[in-house]
Amino acid sequence: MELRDRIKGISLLAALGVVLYTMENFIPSPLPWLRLGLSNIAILLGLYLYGLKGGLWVFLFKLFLGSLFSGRLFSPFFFFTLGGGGVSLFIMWSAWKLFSPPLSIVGVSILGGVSHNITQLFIAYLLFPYSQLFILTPIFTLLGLVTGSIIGIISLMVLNKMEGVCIRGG
Amino acid sequence: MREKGRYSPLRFIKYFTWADLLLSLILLSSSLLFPFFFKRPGKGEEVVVETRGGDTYSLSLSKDTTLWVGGPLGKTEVKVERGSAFIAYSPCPQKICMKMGKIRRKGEMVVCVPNGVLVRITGRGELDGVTR
Repeated sequence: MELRDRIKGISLLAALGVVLYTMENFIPSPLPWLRLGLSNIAILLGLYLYGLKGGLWVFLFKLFLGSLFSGRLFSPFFFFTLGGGGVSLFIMWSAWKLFSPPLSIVGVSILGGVSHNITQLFIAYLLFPYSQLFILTPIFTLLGLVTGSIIGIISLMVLNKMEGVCIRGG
Repeated sequence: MREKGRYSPLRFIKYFTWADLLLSLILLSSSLLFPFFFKRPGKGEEVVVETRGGDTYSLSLSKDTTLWVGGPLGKTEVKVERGSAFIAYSPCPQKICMKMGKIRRKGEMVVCVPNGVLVRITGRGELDGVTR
């Protein structure tokens, strides 16, 4: 029974992540890499409700299906998402495990957003070894701070609404 | 009657715990202070001009000179003036290289893609100056 609930919940979150990831491409943005990262709500919820494995499943589904639907599977963009998402998932999980009582889901999300952006900067550096790229670090940190807070607050609201209502399996 | 301040972004502060706020503050201040820790690369010493034909010229950055180099579209004028280098004239259609301005620091470069001219500044400790 419990396993079934778990699979059900993770699948729902994965579907949510894929839809958010795909829909977000339709929002016009001044720069192609400047995105809110709405699909990270699903990953954050997967992490909080079903642990590291849950977050990882949601992330992988979002990554492969979302990239497939938006037509950039295995493109350079895909590897940016892979690296940034993987590192930020691990950072969020560690922050949640180590500092969770004082740090709320908002703080965890901020760390995730910032580490996501910094990792992408590193990947960009690996692709184009031009070290003046790191001048962008403060801008990327600030962007991660803003988007991470927004994502964290939305996730917190969702968690509060969900409390004891539905798919808590884990 | 609308509640005062209901739509102000400050009302979202209530979702932050003290640790979240501390974290945000640290990230905010460190990224704002970042430019002060980032040492800009120092002044270069030499201007290296490369053409698509494979010619390489080096000029001293401390001596004012003018150099004409040939490319597929015609001649490009590279000038060194008061410690900085720039492309003063280029036969290319969009003149982007002329608009790229003057360069003086190690690692900086100006490129004219249509006419195949690359101007860059070198100096001792080129990479150390940038990465730190």
